[in-house]
Amino acid sequence: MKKKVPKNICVTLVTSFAALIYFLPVFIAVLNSFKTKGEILASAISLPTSLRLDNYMTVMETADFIHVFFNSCLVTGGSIFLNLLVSSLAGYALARWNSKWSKFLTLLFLSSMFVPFHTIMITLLTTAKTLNLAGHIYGLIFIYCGLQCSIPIFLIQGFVRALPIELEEAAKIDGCGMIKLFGIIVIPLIKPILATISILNALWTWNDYLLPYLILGKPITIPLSQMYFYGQYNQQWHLIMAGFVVSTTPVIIFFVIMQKHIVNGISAGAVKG
Amino acid sequence: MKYIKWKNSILYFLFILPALFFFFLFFLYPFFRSLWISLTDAYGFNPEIHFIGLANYWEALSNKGFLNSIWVTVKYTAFVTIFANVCALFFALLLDGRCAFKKFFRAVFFLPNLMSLIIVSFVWVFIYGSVYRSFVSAFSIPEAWQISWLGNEKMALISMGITAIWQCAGYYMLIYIASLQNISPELIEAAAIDGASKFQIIRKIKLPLLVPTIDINTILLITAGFKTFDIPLAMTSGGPAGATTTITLQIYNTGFRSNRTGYAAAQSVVLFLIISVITAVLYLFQNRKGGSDS
Repeated sequence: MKKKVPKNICVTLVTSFAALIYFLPVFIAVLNSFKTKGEILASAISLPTSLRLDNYMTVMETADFIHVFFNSCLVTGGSIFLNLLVSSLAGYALARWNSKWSKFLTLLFLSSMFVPFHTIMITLLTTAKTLNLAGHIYGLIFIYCGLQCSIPIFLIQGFVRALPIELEEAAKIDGCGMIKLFGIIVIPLIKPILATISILNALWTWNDYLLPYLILGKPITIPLSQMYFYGQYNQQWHLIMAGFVVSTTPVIIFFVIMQKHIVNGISAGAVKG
Repeated sequence: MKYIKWKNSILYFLFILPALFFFFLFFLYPFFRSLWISLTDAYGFNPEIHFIGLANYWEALSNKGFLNSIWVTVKYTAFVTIFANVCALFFALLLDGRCAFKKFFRAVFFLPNLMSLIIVSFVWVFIYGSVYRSFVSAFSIPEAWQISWLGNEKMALISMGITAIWQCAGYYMLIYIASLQNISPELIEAAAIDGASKFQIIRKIKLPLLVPTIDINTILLITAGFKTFDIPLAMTSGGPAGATTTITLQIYNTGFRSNRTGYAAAQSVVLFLIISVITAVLYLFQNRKGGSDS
């Protein structure tokens, strides 16, 4: 099917040049993460004299990186799981329920997309404190579920509407209950959109700073610990750059493994959202 | 029959209930509560509050600091929206052509987007500071040409904008690439056979077909720009002299540093109104354009 088109050297050269400039900041950061404080003071654009790993050791220990990384995984994984569960139920029901109530509820969920997080952050923090959720990772997961469910519901609703209803009707005639029908027939059918939502959700949650900062109040996820670390080691750039490399590596590995899904997820999310 | 319909409705509602529960608790209630306390003299998390009408709104709209933060945000958003779009479009057009190692280059341009804005900001503070100073001394650049990236009131916002563009352009590039791939290859082949040059194909065929995507990306970039928080917080904390204090940073400072939660809520409602109006106007504009075309 696909014709093999000859590559254009000129375009490739221009792209390589653009990519080189674009990646320069990362390259500089990695170089400096191997230097000592004195070396950086002497020059921040020279090559490191040796590939020392001392900075990395210091960062892993003082920022308690393994623990922080695990917390970030817990927050992201937990909020994706809860969000998928809750919003696939709601998205399915809103797609199949023909009534003015379902239209009203859809609009209600959608309206939240216009509201910036900063409009609710103060009162959300009060609510979290009243419910005793502040300071707990599970509290953060619940809050993410409430804040991030509208786009997944919208995407799932659209996806279910495009599915043929005959399958569900046949199952109903055979005496299949609604919950069983949802678990056995609907969930496998909507798997592709669930994958897209997981990816989008992971991108929103992993690097989020303000909400975890307000709710947790302790530097126990990656962006929070980086901010804390920065404040603590002001101007100690060799450590901060090592922190950058350590906290970015997992994301790059994730991207390399999931590249196809991430690219498709973003394209699909933007076109529909 | 009516009984079955009722039973179904109740079941459907039960399906929606968990989502509604979280949505009500962590979005709807805080939102309406925020609207309410914006009309009060709420201070910190003190439960005792008094209704004071629109006083907070009048204060916000006559306060130089807040008006300045709106102006700063508008400038920043305009800068980022224009140049992030240009960069994203440029990369997408490069990668859509007959470029080798497409996947690799796409990853290079997209990777910054996966990094946390906080960490990206630190890297750029380092580049604007130590790296730039080393560069200046290595190439002995005369003092008149030197730039104080983050210390200068005029430059600081641009420096922040460059960081933001570097981080987000890859994301919009992916959206452009997706929509470039939807253009039928026959159309381009036909134009090429008719003797159109590469630049003519881009200008006369690809760009016009990309207009709806440009609209979407512009809306996304503008709403994201108005919500910018992490970059000014991590790079400048709003300085020098408030030159990079965006609306969100101002709200944060009013609410959590000065503890004037009622006043901060009023400022945040103003932000909500600004974003709603801009989004509504852009959507209307986009729909009208689409309507007259077809």
